[in-house]
Amino acid sequence: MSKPRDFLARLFTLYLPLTVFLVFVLVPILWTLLTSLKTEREVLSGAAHLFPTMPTLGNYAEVWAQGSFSTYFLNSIFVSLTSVIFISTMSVMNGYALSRFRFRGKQAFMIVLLCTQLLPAVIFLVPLFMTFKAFHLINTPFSLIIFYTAMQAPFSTLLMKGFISNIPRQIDEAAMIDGASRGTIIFKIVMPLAVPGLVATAAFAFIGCWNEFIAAFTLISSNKFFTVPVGLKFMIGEYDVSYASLAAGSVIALVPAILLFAYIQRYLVEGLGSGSVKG
Amino acid sequence: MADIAPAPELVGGGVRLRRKRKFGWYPYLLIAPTVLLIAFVMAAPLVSVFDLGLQDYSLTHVADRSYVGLRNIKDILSKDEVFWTTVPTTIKWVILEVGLQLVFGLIVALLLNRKFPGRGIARSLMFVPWAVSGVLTTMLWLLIFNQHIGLLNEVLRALGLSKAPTAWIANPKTVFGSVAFAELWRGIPFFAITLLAALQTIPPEINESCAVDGCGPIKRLFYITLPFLKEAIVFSVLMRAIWEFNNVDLIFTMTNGGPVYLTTTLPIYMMQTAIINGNYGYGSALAAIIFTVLFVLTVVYLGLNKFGKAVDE
Amino acid sequence: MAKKSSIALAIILGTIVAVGAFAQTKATISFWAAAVTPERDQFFKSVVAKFEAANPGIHVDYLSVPGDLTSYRQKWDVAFAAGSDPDITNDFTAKQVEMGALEPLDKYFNAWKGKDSVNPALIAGNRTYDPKNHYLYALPYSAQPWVMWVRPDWFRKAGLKVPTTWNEFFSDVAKLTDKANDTYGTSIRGGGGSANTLEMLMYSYSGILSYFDESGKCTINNPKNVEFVERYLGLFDVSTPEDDLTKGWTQLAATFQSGKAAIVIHNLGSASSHFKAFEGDYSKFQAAPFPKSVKGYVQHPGLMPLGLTMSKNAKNKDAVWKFMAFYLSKEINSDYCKLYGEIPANKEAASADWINGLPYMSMGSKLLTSPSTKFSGTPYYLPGYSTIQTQMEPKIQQAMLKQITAKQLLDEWAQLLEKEKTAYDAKASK
Repeated sequence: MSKPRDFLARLFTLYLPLTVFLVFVLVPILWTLLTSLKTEREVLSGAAHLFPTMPTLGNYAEVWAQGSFSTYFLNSIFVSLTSVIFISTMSVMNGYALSRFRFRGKQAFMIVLLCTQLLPAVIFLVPLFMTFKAFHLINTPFSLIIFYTAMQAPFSTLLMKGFISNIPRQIDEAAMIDGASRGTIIFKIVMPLAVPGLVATAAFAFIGCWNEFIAAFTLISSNKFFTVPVGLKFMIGEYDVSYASLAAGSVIALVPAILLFAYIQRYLVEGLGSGSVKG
Repeated sequence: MADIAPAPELVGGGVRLRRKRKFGWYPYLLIAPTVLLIAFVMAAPLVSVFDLGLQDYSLTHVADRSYVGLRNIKDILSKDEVFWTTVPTTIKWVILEVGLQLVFGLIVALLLNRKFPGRGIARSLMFVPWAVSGVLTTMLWLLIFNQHIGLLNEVLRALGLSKAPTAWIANPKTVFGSVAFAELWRGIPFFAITLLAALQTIPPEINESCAVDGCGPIKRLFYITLPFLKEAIVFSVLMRAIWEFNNVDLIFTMTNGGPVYLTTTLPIYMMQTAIINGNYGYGSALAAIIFTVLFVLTVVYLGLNKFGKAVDE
Repeated sequence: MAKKSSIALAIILGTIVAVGAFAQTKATISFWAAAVTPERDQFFKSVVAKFEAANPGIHVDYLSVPGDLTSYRQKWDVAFAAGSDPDITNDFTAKQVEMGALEPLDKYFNAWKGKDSVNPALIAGNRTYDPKNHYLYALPYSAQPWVMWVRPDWFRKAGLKVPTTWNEFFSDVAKLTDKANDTYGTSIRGGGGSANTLEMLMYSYSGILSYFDESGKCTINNPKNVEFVERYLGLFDVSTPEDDLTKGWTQLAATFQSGKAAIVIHNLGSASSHFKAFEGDYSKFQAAPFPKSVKGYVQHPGLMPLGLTMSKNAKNKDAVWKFMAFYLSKEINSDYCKLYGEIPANKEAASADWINGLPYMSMGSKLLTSPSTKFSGTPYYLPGYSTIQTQMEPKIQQAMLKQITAKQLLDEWAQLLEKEKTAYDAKASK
């Protein structure tokens, strides 16, 4: 095979389509970034001014300090991270159960999981509020953690089931013959092999919690417990939208999510989930 | 406690062992926390949806609250024209979004699976639309599609492709496509990342031995890659379809279901009725219909896919 | 023996005093402020701080709720359903009265020293939400007039004057439209809130003061109203941008503030938003009264009842009233109205100098106090009033797209209002 042909092939089957998708994905984000560096007046003057005439970080400073964004940020981190830990643990356990066992009620369990997704969250709010109130959990971050875990667990479980199923059963059996307990098998043997899947699952779960709005807005009645999405809503007023502030706030909100994913995406590498079976 | 029979090769070659699967208590232990949590969170809401659906309960005439049995359901199915317009809109929305997101997501996943410099950065960037807050996404796309100060019209004008600025979100001809496009932007990363992770579980030896046998990339895609991805695709399509069905935020903020109900899906209609107009009884009946329809579809879908049974389950 | 019993007595008395002192801990009241932006948040925080300083025995649990009024009402609905609604809200709706969520304020108001400081017309307006007993369920703090916001610089350039009659309005709008340059005479609110605006404008045109005639028939489909709707909605995509079809207020504001339209209709409350957008340049934005109706007088929509409400579930009602009275003091009322662009309910504040210093405020104030301004009898008191408007909104879009006629639109609207009125009257007479 000739080198130039190789290169051309790669160009058309990899680099070109990749660039197209990246542009599609990034142009709106780039615009958000540029908007966050403009003044409000500039934003309204139209896209004709694509670039800010005098870029300013003022929006960021204002949003972080005056907008109490630092508080919302910390709340979101606490709620999201705690939820993700619970969600991941439960999804590994459930995924393993669904993948390795046949048991009565297995299908029913999957259906029950999916039932949580069949209605928009907004219709659940009144009874949910009353449930949490009865347990004195209303207006605490814990109500959100419980709700998010319940809402994210189903999808995470199904994902993990798929990933765990692709890990050969022989690995479990070999370990069992070596005398390992189920718990060790699940958490010390299978889970490490399912890391790519766990990474994707945790990333989605984190985003689901990080960006959730309606429950955080309704179940929390103290400014000090508001999360980032609710904080962003302050920029969208009854009479106008502070686009520049909204953009700045959103970029701030985006940073942890992207950093987290940038860190964990290195585990989306082939071969980690297989190959340790000697026939 | 051995709850699965040992693999055949360990018990004498060639003998097909009757695989007796005793279900022990272990799986129940594993799923118990989740079941309890879901029961705690969901029980009251589900019951209340069906209970309220049987009532005539509207905040504009609270004093007349009473049980009316299936009257709400009857009214919805026989008298409500808006309901019947939302049905095709919703179907169109779900099929279009899930279909396109799956196809493009798969392509992106395959691309991001290849080795190239800067791959880590590319993957992180591809994640961004999913990671961005919904609050921003809707405002962002509203601004992009804005007839006067929006990015899209500006770009089209600069490229000389349009003479007059289009009112993307207002024009009845373009509104559905515009909202669909915004959602597409947000949804592709979902499939891209999920399928990328699933791709990692394909043993590299299989691909290598296939290459040795001389099969090209297309054969490899259909005979190796897709079968391995089957379970991930089955479940992610199901989840995405359910989520798109129930997606109210984007549509509601961009168009409020309008103009003239062109972008009103069934959940949007339910939300307007129950939450905005305070007609909890009627709105809950709509919710009950949504729930039932999705429930039936889910059970059928899972049944057809054998509940995503893996190859050796 | 005497010593022992006197020690015991001392202990008992001491305990009583200690318990009494301990029991005098702060009374806590909760206040949810609606549709708060960072700016407004500062305002409310300062009010709360001032109030607590002046009333050391009361603690105010203040929550600023972001977003729009719809989101606020959603949140309130859920909290109320669970019995956790806040003691004080600043969003007064007929629905709350209907649901029995509010405490009547009459006994507090009548005993209040400052009761004459509040504009009596606003008090009377708030009482209309109670069909049977006319109790006062909210203490009004301002009046929110609706106005025409115009670009005086555009009018000057075209050699036109700001329209004072509706015929002038229609001809000016046509003259100021330059489609090629993407500038238009006006912009119509076709999305959320469209029905509210259209309704008030049609009555402003026809000069009909009452929504229902003596026989209970609704006047909304009166031929003059139909004529207006035909002319006004006929402007769509001719003298207005095409994307008006789905415009809510935020997009309408953006259209006006980005220099695409010469006239938009909104209440005085958006003044600060325009002020920011035009950098305080009054040659670029101005508030004007509605044009004169065909009957020759200026008619504006009836003032929507608003005010601070007290929850029936409030535990420290006296403390709540104290806060409400404080809110209506001249200083606080002025600060609020300056920020929100509303006319103070406190009579002294309403005639203060700063009002005349701000052109749009003095215009609003004159509008309200002028004897020649007439106000429509807008039936805010009908619990289903705003739900009917929401139902009409897709129909208005159909009318704009010429899928139905103005008459069909208004006939249906009339039917719904008549039904609602009948239900209301029945309840009032019970």
